Amino acid sequence: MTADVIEVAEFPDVAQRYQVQGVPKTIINEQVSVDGAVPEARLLALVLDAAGRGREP
Amino acid sequence: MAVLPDQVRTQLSEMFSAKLDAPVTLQLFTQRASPLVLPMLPCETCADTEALLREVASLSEHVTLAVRDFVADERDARSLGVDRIPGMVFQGRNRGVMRYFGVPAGYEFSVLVEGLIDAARGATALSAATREQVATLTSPVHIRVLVTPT
Repeated sequence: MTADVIEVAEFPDVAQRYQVQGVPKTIINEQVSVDGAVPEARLLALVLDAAGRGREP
Repeated sequence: MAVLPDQVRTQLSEMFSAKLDAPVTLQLFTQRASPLVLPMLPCETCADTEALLREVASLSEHVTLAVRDFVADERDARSLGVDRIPGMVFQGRNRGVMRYFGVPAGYEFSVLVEGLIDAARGATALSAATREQVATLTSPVHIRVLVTPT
């Protein structure tokens, strides 16, 4: 797993690429995007979903 | 010149002595001060970031700062996934890749501090249930958290 924190005020290309309108904004595997603070359980669900395991029993 | 106020330095020293008990290396990719002007690579926050990290690293014997040149050390930057500067990689007992891009100032200062502690310990504040689930992942996951300092 890779975790990056990117300060987008310094990198407007990143802000533009992900259409950032507010921070924090979390992007997982370029597929899932969520605005605001993300509680642990929700982040886990998003990670599992992005990794293609979200629908397993 | 000190970047951090004395009070913050003291707090940080105490926090590091309490929580940092293993080595952690911060690889900072930056732009070296050069007599040459490199108009293609302006890095307005590189010098401030380096000064800040030098000071933070000086507050714990366990923190090593490796200052790398983004141009001269391009191969290493690429293999570590550093595609912009200032960019830093946390290397301790963490098994995943942890990076921070930009100057970790303001509210983001705690990301630097907690990142150093977590990487050194190879541990996080995540629940056992979460860690168990994450351990079952078989495909790569790349999380990007986009932030601003205020």
